[in-house]
Amino acid sequence: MGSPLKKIMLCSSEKEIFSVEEQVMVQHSVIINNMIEDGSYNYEESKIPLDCVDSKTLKKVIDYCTYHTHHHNDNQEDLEAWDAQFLNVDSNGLYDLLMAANYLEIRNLLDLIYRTIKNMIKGKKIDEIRRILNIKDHGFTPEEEEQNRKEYPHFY
Amino acid sequence: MIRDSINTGFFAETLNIYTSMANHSNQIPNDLALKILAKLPIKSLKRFSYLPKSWLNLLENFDFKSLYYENLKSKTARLSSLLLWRLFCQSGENVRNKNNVHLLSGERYENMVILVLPTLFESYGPGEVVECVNGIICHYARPSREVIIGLWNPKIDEHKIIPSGITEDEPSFDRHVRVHGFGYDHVNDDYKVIQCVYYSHYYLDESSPI
Repeated sequence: MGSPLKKIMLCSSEKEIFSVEEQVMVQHSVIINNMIEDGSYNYEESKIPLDCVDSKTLKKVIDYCTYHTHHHNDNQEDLEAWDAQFLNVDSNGLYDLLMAANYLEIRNLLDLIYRTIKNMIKGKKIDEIRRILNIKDHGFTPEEEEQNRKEYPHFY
Repeated sequence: MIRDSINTGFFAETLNIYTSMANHSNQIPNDLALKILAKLPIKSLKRFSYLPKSWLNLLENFDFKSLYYENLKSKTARLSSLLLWRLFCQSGENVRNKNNVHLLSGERYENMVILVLPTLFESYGPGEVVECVNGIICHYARPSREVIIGLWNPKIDEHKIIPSGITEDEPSFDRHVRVHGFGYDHVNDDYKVIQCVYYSHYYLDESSPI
Protein backbone atom coordinates (compact mmCIF):
# COMPACT_ATOMS: atom_id res chain seq x y z
CA MET A 1 0.00 0.00 0.00
CA GLY A 2 1.42 3.39 -1.00
CA SER A 3 1.31 6.58 0.98
CA PRO A 4 -1.93 8.56 0.61
CA LEU A 5 -0.47 11.59 -1.09
CA LYS A 6 1.45 9.82 -3.81
CA LYS A 7 0.04 10.23 -7.29
CA ILE A 8 0.04 7.79 -10.18
CA MET A 9 -0.54 8.47 -13.88
CA LEU A 10 -3.18 6.70 -15.95
CA CYS A 11 -3.22 7.05 -19.72
CA SER A 12 -6.50 6.69 -21.66
CA SER A 13 -6.94 5.31 -25.18
CA GLU A 14 -6.77 8.90 -26.47
CA LYS A 15 -3.39 9.24 -24.72
CA GLU A 16 -4.81 11.71 -22.22
CA ILE A 17 -2.99 11.58 -18.88
CA PHE A 18 -4.93 11.44 -15.61
CA SER A 19 -3.16 11.99 -12.32
CA VAL A 20 -4.85 10.16 -9.45
CA GLU A 21 -4.10 9.62 -5.78
CA GLU A 22 -2.40 6.25 -5.65
CA GLN A 23 -4.44 5.15 -2.64
CA VAL A 24 -7.69 5.66 -4.54
CA MET A 25 -6.77 3.28 -7.36
CA VAL A 26 -4.86 0.79 -5.21
CA GLN A 27 -7.89 0.31 -2.96
CA HIS A 28 -10.28 -0.38 -5.81
CA SER A 29 -8.44 -1.84 -8.77
CA VAL A 30 -6.89 -5.29 -8.31
CA ILE A 31 -4.73 -4.78 -11.41
CA ILE A 32 -3.27 -1.45 -10.28
CA ASN A 33 -2.77 -2.74 -6.75
CA ASN A 34 -0.73 -5.64 -8.18
CA MET A 35 1.34 -3.28 -10.33
CA ILE A 36 2.23 -1.07 -7.38
CA GLU A 37 2.90 -4.01 -5.08
CA ASP A 38 5.24 -5.85 -7.41
CA GLY A 39 7.20 -2.62 -8.00
CA SER A 40 6.62 -2.49 -11.75
CA TYR A 41 5.37 1.10 -11.46
CA ASN A 42 8.03 3.81 -11.56
CA TYR A 43 6.77 7.00 -9.87
CA GLU A 44 9.13 9.21 -11.90
CA GLU A 45 8.33 7.95 -15.37
CA SER A 46 5.53 5.37 -15.53
CA LYS A 47 2.13 6.02 -17.02
CA ILE A 48 -0.25 3.08 -16.85
CA PRO A 49 -1.57 2.60 -20.40
CA LEU A 50 -5.27 1.77 -20.52
CA ASP A 51 -5.67 1.31 -24.26
CA CYS A 52 -9.21 -0.01 -24.09
CA VAL A 53 -10.57 2.73 -21.81
CA ASP A 54 -11.48 6.09 -23.34
CA SER A 55 -11.05 9.38 -21.47
CA LYS A 56 -14.74 9.86 -20.73
CA THR A 57 -15.02 6.39 -19.18
CA LEU A 58 -11.72 6.67 -17.34
CA LYS A 59 -12.84 9.94 -15.78
CA LYS A 60 -16.04 8.23 -14.58
CA VAL A 61 -14.09 5.30 -13.17
CA ILE A 62 -11.74 7.64 -11.29
CA ASP A 63 -14.75 9.58 -9.96
CA TYR A 64 -16.23 6.34 -8.66
CA CYS A 65 -13.04 5.18 -6.96
CA THR A 66 -12.34 8.63 -5.49
CA TYR A 67 -15.82 8.99 -4.06
CA HIS A 68 -15.86 5.52 -2.57
CA THR A 69 -12.40 5.98 -1.03
CA HIS A 70 -13.35 9.22 0.72
CA HIS A 71 -16.94 8.31 1.61
CA HIS A 72 -16.63 4.70 2.67
CA ASN A 73 -17.87 5.64 6.13
CA ASP A 74 -21.07 7.21 4.82
CA ASN A 75 -24.28 5.37 5.52
CA GLN A 76 -25.36 2.73 3.05
CA GLU A 77 -28.40 4.62 1.80
CA ASP A 78 -26.38 7.70 0.82
CA LEU A 79 -23.83 5.56 -0.97
CA GLU A 80 -26.51 3.70 -2.88
CA ALA A 81 -28.17 6.95 -3.88
CA TRP A 82 -24.82 8.25 -5.13
CA ASP A 83 -24.22 5.00 -7.06
CA ALA A 84 -27.61 5.17 -8.74
CA GLN A 85 -26.92 8.77 -9.78
CA PHE A 86 -23.46 7.74 -10.96
CA LEU A 87 -24.88 5.05 -13.26
CA ASN A 88 -27.36 7.47 -14.77
CA VAL A 89 -25.71 7.08 -18.17
CA ASP A 90 -26.80 5.95 -21.62
CA SER A 91 -26.40 2.39 -22.87
CA ASN A 92 -23.00 3.02 -24.46
CA GLY A 93 -21.77 4.60 -21.27
CA LEU A 94 -22.93 1.63 -19.22
CA TYR A 95 -21.28 -0.80 -21.61
CA ASP A 96 -17.99 1.14 -21.56
CA LEU A 97 -18.04 1.28 -17.76
CA LEU A 98 -18.67 -2.46 -17.57
CA MET A 99 -15.70 -3.20 -19.82
CA ALA A 100 -13.45 -0.76 -17.96
CA ALA A 101 -14.41 -2.10 -14.53
CA ASN A 102 -13.78 -5.62 -15.78
CA TYR A 103 -10.40 -4.67 -17.27
CA LEU A 104 -9.24 -2.86 -14.13
CA GLU A 105 -10.90 -5.45 -11.86
CA ILE A 106 -12.84 -2.98 -9.78
CA ARG A 107 -15.03 -5.47 -7.96
CA ASN A 108 -17.57 -3.20 -6.27
CA LEU A 109 -18.15 -1.21 -9.45
CA LEU A 110 -18.52 -4.44 -11.46
CA ASP A 111 -21.02 -5.73 -8.96
CA LEU A 112 -22.99 -2.49 -9.13
CA ILE A 113 -23.16 -2.69 -12.93
CA TYR A 114 -24.14 -6.37 -12.86
CA ARG A 115 -26.98 -5.59 -10.48
CA THR A 116 -28.12 -2.68 -12.63
CA ILE A 117 -28.24 -4.79 -15.79
CA LYS A 118 -29.91 -7.60 -13.86
CA ASN A 119 -32.67 -5.19 -12.89
CA MET A 120 -33.01 -4.12 -16.53
CA ILE A 121 -33.66 -7.68 -17.74
CA LYS A 122 -35.46 -9.21 -14.75
CA GLY A 123 -39.00 -10.28 -15.59
CA LYS A 124 -38.69 -9.30 -19.25
CA LYS A 125 -39.59 -11.42 -22.26
CA ILE A 126 -36.91 -12.98 -24.47
CA ASP A 127 -37.39 -10.60 -27.40
CA GLU A 128 -36.93 -7.63 -25.12
CA ILE A 129 -33.92 -9.09 -23.28
CA ARG A 130 -32.23 -9.84 -26.60
CA ARG A 131 -32.69 -6.19 -27.49
CA ILE A 132 -31.42 -4.98 -24.11
CA LEU A 133 -28.35 -7.24 -24.14
CA ASN A 134 -27.88 -6.60 -27.86
CA ILE A 135 -27.93 -10.29 -28.75
CA LYS A 136 -28.22 -10.21 -32.54
CA ASP A 137 -27.21 -13.74 -33.37
CA HIS A 138 -29.00 -16.13 -31.04
CA GLY A 139 -27.64 -19.19 -32.88
CA PHE A 140 -30.96 -21.02 -33.30
CA THR A 141 -32.02 -22.04 -36.81
CA PRO A 142 -35.34 -20.47 -37.92
CA GLU A 143 -36.98 -23.89 -37.42
CA GLU A 144 -35.58 -24.28 -33.88
CA GLU A 145 -36.61 -20.72 -33.03
CA GLU A 146 -40.14 -21.37 -34.26
CA GLN A 147 -40.29 -24.61 -32.29
CA ASN A 148 -39.13 -22.83 -29.10
CA ARG A 149 -41.71 -20.11 -29.57
CA LYS A 150 -44.42 -22.73 -29.98
CA GLU A 151 -43.29 -24.69 -26.96
CA TYR A 152 -42.80 -21.73 -24.61
CA PRO A 153 -45.02 -18.92 -25.93
CA HIS A 154 -44.97 -17.19 -22.51
CA PHE A 155 -41.17 -16.77 -22.73
CA TYR A 156 -41.37 -14.54 -25.82
CA MET B 1 -37.74 -1.79 3.85
CA ILE B 2 -37.11 1.93 3.50
CA ARG B 3 -33.79 1.27 1.84
CA ASP B 4 -35.43 -1.15 -0.57
CA SER B 5 -37.97 1.35 -1.75
CA ILE B 6 -35.39 4.10 -2.21
CA ASN B 7 -33.26 1.70 -4.16
CA THR B 8 -36.04 0.60 -6.45
CA GLY B 9 -37.02 4.19 -7.03
CA PHE B 10 -33.58 5.19 -8.13
CA PHE B 11 -33.13 2.18 -10.34
CA ALA B 12 -36.49 2.76 -11.97
CA GLU B 13 -35.51 6.35 -12.67
CA THR B 14 -32.20 5.26 -14.11
CA LEU B 15 -33.85 2.60 -16.23
CA ASN B 16 -36.04 5.07 -18.06
CA ILE B 17 -33.00 6.82 -19.37
CA TYR B 18 -31.16 3.83 -20.76
CA THR B 19 -33.79 1.41 -21.86
CA SER B 20 -31.38 -0.76 -23.77
CA MET B 21 -27.80 -1.37 -24.77
CA ALA B 22 -28.92 -1.99 -28.32
CA ASN B 23 -27.34 1.13 -29.74
CA HIS B 24 -23.94 -0.20 -28.93
CA SER B 25 -22.24 -2.21 -31.61
CA ASN B 26 -20.84 -4.71 -29.13
CA GLN B 27 -22.49 -7.50 -27.27
CA ILE B 28 -21.61 -8.06 -23.60
CA PRO B 29 -18.93 -10.79 -23.45
CA ASN B 30 -20.29 -14.16 -22.44
CA ASP B 31 -18.38 -14.51 -19.16
CA LEU B 32 -19.70 -11.16 -17.93
CA ALA B 33 -23.23 -11.93 -19.11
CA LEU B 34 -23.18 -15.19 -17.14
CA LYS B 35 -22.24 -13.29 -14.00
CA ILE B 36 -25.34 -11.14 -14.49
CA LEU B 37 -27.51 -14.22 -15.09
CA ALA B 38 -26.21 -15.80 -11.90
CA LYS B 39 -27.92 -13.01 -9.97
CA LEU B 40 -31.36 -13.75 -11.40
CA PRO B 41 -34.02 -15.75 -9.58
CA ILE B 42 -33.71 -19.45 -10.41
CA LYS B 43 -37.29 -19.58 -11.66
CA SER B 44 -36.47 -17.32 -14.59
CA LEU B 45 -33.32 -19.16 -15.65
CA LYS B 46 -35.10 -21.54 -17.97
CA ARG B 47 -36.36 -18.56 -19.96
CA PHE B 48 -32.88 -17.03 -20.06
CA SER B 49 -31.41 -20.27 -21.37
CA TYR B 50 -33.29 -19.63 -24.67
CA LEU B 51 -31.65 -16.23 -25.29
CA PRO B 52 -28.79 -17.55 -27.39
CA LYS B 53 -28.43 -21.21 -28.17
CA SER B 54 -25.12 -21.40 -26.32
CA TRP B 55 -26.94 -20.87 -23.00
CA LEU B 56 -29.31 -23.82 -23.46
CA ASN B 57 -27.40 -26.06 -21.09
CA LEU B 58 -26.69 -23.32 -18.59
CA LEU B 59 -28.12 -25.26 -15.68
CA GLU B 60 -25.82 -28.19 -16.42
CA ASN B 61 -22.74 -25.98 -16.78
CA PHE B 62 -20.45 -26.62 -13.83
CA ASP B 63 -18.91 -23.11 -13.75
CA PHE B 64 -22.29 -21.47 -13.92
CA LYS B 65 -23.65 -23.73 -11.19
CA SER B 66 -20.83 -22.85 -8.82
CA LEU B 67 -21.20 -19.15 -9.65
CA TYR B 68 -24.90 -19.40 -8.92
CA TYR B 69 -24.31 -21.30 -5.71
CA GLU B 70 -21.81 -18.66 -4.50
CA ASN B 71 -24.40 -15.95 -5.09
CA LEU B 72 -27.03 -17.94 -3.25
CA LYS B 73 -24.76 -18.45 -0.26
CA SER B 74 -24.07 -14.72 0.00
CA LYS B 75 -27.77 -14.00 0.30
CA THR B 76 -29.39 -14.30 3.69
CA ALA B 77 -30.83 -17.56 4.89
CA ARG B 78 -34.36 -16.22 5.20
CA LEU B 79 -34.60 -16.14 1.41
CA SER B 80 -34.28 -19.89 1.16
CA SER B 81 -37.23 -22.21 1.36
CA LEU B 82 -37.74 -25.67 2.76
CA LEU B 83 -39.37 -28.76 1.35
CA LEU B 84 -41.38 -30.79 3.79
CA TRP B 85 -42.52 -34.22 2.77
CA ARG B 86 -45.27 -35.84 4.79
CA LEU B 87 -46.24 -39.42 4.37
CA PHE B 88 -49.53 -40.58 5.87
CA CYS B 89 -49.55 -44.31 6.37
CA GLN B 90 -52.88 -45.93 6.85
CA SER B 91 -53.45 -49.49 7.85
CA GLY B 92 -56.08 -51.75 6.41
CA GLU B 93 -56.70 -53.17 3.00
CA ASN B 94 -56.97 -51.09 -0.17
CA VAL B 95 -55.94 -47.92 1.56
CA ARG B 96 -53.35 -45.91 -0.35
CA ASN B 97 -50.67 -44.02 1.51
CA LYS B 98 -51.08 -40.28 1.15
CA ASN B 99 -48.13 -38.13 0.14
CA ASN B 100 -47.93 -34.41 0.65
CA VAL B 101 -45.00 -32.25 -0.29
CA HIS B 102 -45.11 -28.75 1.12
CA LEU B 103 -42.99 -25.76 0.24
CA LEU B 104 -42.23 -23.66 3.32
CA SER B 105 -40.94 -20.12 2.88
CA GLY B 106 -40.76 -16.84 4.74
CA GLU B 107 -38.70 -15.62 7.67
CA ARG B 108 -40.21 -18.16 10.04
CA TYR B 109 -41.30 -20.57 7.31
CA GLU B 110 -44.84 -19.37 7.92
CA ASN B 111 -45.95 -19.65 4.30
CA MET B 112 -46.89 -23.18 3.39
CA VAL B 113 -47.93 -24.30 -0.05
CA ILE B 114 -48.86 -27.86 -1.01
CA LEU B 115 -47.01 -28.75 -4.20
CA VAL B 116 -48.88 -30.52 -6.94
CA LEU B 117 -46.51 -33.11 -8.36
CA PRO B 118 -46.44 -33.65 -12.12
CA THR B 119 -48.28 -36.62 -13.53
CA LEU B 120 -46.10 -39.66 -14.20
CA PHE B 121 -48.59 -41.65 -16.18
CA GLU B 122 -51.87 -40.62 -17.70
CA SER B 123 -54.86 -41.31 -15.44
CA TYR B 124 -52.45 -42.48 -12.76
CA GLY B 125 -51.46 -39.18 -11.19
CA PRO B 126 -48.24 -38.21 -9.46
CA GLY B 127 -47.60 -41.55 -7.74
CA GLU B 128 -45.70 -41.90 -4.48
CA VAL B 129 -42.78 -39.90 -3.20
CA VAL B 130 -39.53 -41.80 -2.53
CA GLU B 131 -37.45 -38.98 -1.11
CA CYS B 132 -36.74 -35.23 -1.32
CA VAL B 133 -33.05 -34.35 -1.64
CA ASN B 134 -31.63 -30.83 -2.13
CA GLY B 135 -34.97 -29.59 -3.37
CA ILE B 136 -35.39 -32.42 -5.86
CA ILE B 137 -38.33 -34.75 -5.42
CA CYS B 138 -38.14 -38.35 -6.57
CA HIS B 139 -41.46 -40.08 -7.10
CA TYR B 140 -42.72 -43.18 -8.85
CA ALA B 141 -45.84 -44.86 -10.11
CA ARG B 142 -46.61 -48.44 -11.07
CA PRO B 143 -49.36 -48.38 -13.67
CA SER B 144 -48.42 -51.85 -14.87
CA ARG B 145 -45.66 -54.30 -14.04
CA GLU B 146 -43.13 -51.63 -14.98
CA VAL B 147 -42.33 -48.83 -12.62
CA ILE B 148 -42.09 -45.23 -13.79
CA ILE B 149 -39.71 -43.00 -11.85
CA GLY B 150 -39.64 -39.23 -12.11
CA LEU B 151 -37.43 -36.47 -10.72
CA TRP B 152 -38.96 -33.05 -10.23
CA ASN B 153 -37.32 -29.77 -9.33
CA PRO B 154 -40.22 -27.51 -8.30
CA LYS B 155 -38.05 -24.36 -8.25
CA ILE B 156 -37.41 -24.44 -11.97
CA ASP B 157 -40.39 -26.71 -12.71
CA GLU B 158 -38.31 -29.24 -14.55
CA HIS B 159 -39.51 -32.81 -14.61
CA LYS B 160 -37.60 -35.79 -15.90
CA ILE B 161 -38.66 -39.39 -16.30
CA ILE B 162 -35.86 -41.86 -15.70
CA PRO B 163 -35.45 -44.26 -18.64
CA SER B 164 -36.72 -47.69 -17.72
CA GLY B 165 -35.76 -51.12 -18.94
CA ILE B 166 -32.37 -51.59 -17.37
CA THR B 167 -33.26 -55.17 -16.53
CA GLU B 168 -34.77 -57.91 -18.64
CA ASP B 169 -37.16 -60.73 -18.07
CA GLU B 170 -35.71 -64.17 -17.31
CA PRO B 171 -37.51 -67.29 -18.52
CA SER B 172 -39.74 -68.86 -15.88
CA PHE B 173 -39.14 -65.98 -13.46
CA ASP B 174 -41.40 -63.13 -12.51
CA ARG B 175 -39.63 -59.80 -12.47
CA HIS B 176 -40.53 -57.18 -9.91
CA VAL B 177 -38.79 -53.80 -9.60
CA ARG B 178 -38.82 -51.82 -6.38
CA VAL B 179 -37.62 -48.27 -5.93
CA HIS B 180 -35.22 -48.50 -3.04
CA GLY B 181 -33.92 -44.98 -2.53
CA PHE B 182 -32.85 -41.65 -3.93
CA GLY B 183 -29.81 -39.59 -2.99
CA TYR B 184 -27.02 -37.22 -3.99
CA ASP B 185 -23.68 -38.69 -5.09
CA HIS B 186 -21.15 -36.02 -4.13
CA VAL B 187 -18.25 -37.77 -5.87
CA ASN B 188 -19.88 -37.55 -9.28
CA ASP B 189 -22.00 -34.46 -8.46
CA ASP B 190 -25.11 -36.26 -9.60
CA TYR B 191 -28.30 -37.78 -8.24
CA LYS B 192 -28.92 -41.49 -8.14
CA VAL B 193 -31.96 -43.69 -7.80
CA ILE B 194 -31.44 -47.19 -6.45
CA GLN B 195 -33.78 -49.82 -7.78
CA CYS B 196 -33.99 -53.33 -6.49
CA VAL B 197 -35.00 -56.05 -8.93
CA TYR B 198 -36.59 -59.25 -7.64
CA TYR B 199 -36.95 -62.41 -9.71
CA SER B 200 -39.41 -64.85 -8.25
CA HIS B 201 -39.66 -68.39 -9.55
CA TYR B 202 -43.02 -69.43 -11.01
CA TYR B 203 -43.11 -72.80 -9.29
CA LEU B 204 -41.36 -72.44 -6.00
CA ASP B 205 -42.58 -68.89 -5.38
CA GLU B 206 -39.35 -67.96 -3.64
CA SER B 207 -38.12 -64.41 -4.01
CA SER B 208 -34.45 -63.83 -4.48
CA PRO B 209 -33.07 -60.38 -5.10
CA ILE B 210 -30.32 -60.17 -7.70
